[in-house]
Amino acid sequence: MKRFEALIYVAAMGVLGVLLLLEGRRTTELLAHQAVSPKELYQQLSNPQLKLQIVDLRAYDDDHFIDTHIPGAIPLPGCDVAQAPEKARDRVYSYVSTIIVTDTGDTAAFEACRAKFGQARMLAGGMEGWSNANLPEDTGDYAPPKNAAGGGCL
Amino acid sequence: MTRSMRIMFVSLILGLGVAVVSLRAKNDSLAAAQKTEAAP
Repeated sequence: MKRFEALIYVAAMGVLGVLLLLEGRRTTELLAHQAVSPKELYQQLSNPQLKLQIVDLRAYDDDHFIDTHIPGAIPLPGCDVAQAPEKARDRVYSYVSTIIVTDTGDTAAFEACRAKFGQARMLAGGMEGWSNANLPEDTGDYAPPKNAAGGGCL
Repeated sequence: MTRSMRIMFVSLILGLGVAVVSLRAKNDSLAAAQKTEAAP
């Protein structure tokens, strides 16, 4: 019996490790279906320790992204890198926690783009929700941040 | 197997167990909240 003791411990740790992994994946899946509110996102952006990228799926034109966007947001019109401005193409990272911004919180657009990111959540109400909450906005062309990945700093 | 090794293994298993249970509880409450939101 003593001979197998170590084996039993290792097996128990293995089983618990797999369970932990499965629960972690379930958390990711559940969070993906829970949109983040504009105020919650604003609070998250205020925390410099949180690595977060904001990806804006709206059109990159004078009526949408250039007119107004969340500070630090990266334009990715229609979730297509080819449509993104050249400066933004290499700024989108699939492994960073991502907030996806649409015009009004369009679930279909979010679902179509979600698979590109390991962990993604939608901004509730989209850019309209952000504007209605009177939170800070930027205007103009996309300008990549000088340091760190992904942007998202206020 | 020495006594200290046994203590280490048991502590690790207990720690993992607690992590699994707490994560599961958090997931269950998240799922319940989402169900409530989805209900008409």
